[in-house]
Amino acid sequence: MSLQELSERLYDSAPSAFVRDVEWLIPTIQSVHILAIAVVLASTLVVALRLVGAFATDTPREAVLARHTPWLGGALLVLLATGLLLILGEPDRTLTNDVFWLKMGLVVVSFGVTRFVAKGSAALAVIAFGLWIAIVACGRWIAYV
Amino acid sequence: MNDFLQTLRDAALPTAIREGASLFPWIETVHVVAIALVVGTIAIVDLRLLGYRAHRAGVQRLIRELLPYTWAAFGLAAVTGALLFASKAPAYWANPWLRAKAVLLLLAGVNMALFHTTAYRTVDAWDERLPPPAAARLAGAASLLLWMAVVVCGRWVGFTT
Repeated sequence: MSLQELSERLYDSAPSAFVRDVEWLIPTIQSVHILAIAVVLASTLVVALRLVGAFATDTPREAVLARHTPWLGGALLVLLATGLLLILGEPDRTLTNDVFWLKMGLVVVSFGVTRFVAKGSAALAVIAFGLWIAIVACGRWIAYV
Repeated sequence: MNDFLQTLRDAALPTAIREGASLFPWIETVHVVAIALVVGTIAIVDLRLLGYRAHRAGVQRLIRELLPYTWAAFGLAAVTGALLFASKAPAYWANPWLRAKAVLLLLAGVNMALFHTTAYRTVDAWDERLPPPAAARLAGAASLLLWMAVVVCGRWVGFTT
């Protein structure tokens, strides 16, 4: 089954129609998605700044990582859940969209990089922060291509 | 007011943003990243004021270290927001979600000013205390809710303009 067919079958399903037809649902899911993005960007920024040595240098790196990693993990789960709902509701806007797949590719890369940030690499922490920003940018551009 | 908004809309830069192929989405992208950083960094402080531990024990240093980043992101969000607004000024001005967002931003500012002139004045006495005093917890809760509501209104502006 091609992505086009998958998208069409999904589009024709009852749950997909439900997400689309309840007028306030997609803007609300997107709002929650953006709030979770705020948590991801802020927690990865703080971790990157600490590992680079830009602030809180008198607090152990491990302590800063330990404080922010659970928030990052929780936010990523919220992003996964809301993201899946958005795909379900508008498969024609996502599954057949090149920028969407670029975003998913970057998410996979960023997951890998972020896992290694936990070992304390400043360079990887900065790269991870940059990747999450690129992912947010792709997300916004899904609406325009 | 309508004349002014129309003149603003028809100015060179707003027209370029409205009619260009990719200027509007790019400015919007920067706006989303900036507002996410504003809300995310403020949330770290708000949650600490509510009594959740942050990466710093003391409230003062947490605020002092994060605030420059919050303000930088806020400046970016404000400039990009103003540009987006100008490109379709009359339509945005007529949008109730945008008006609600403006009021909520104002309230977030008032809340911050109140916090700094009341509870924060005595911060030396409760800097590392958990939970912080009720006035600080109230300010943190108000800030968190207001900024979350700002994001929600902002997202709805895009669906209704």
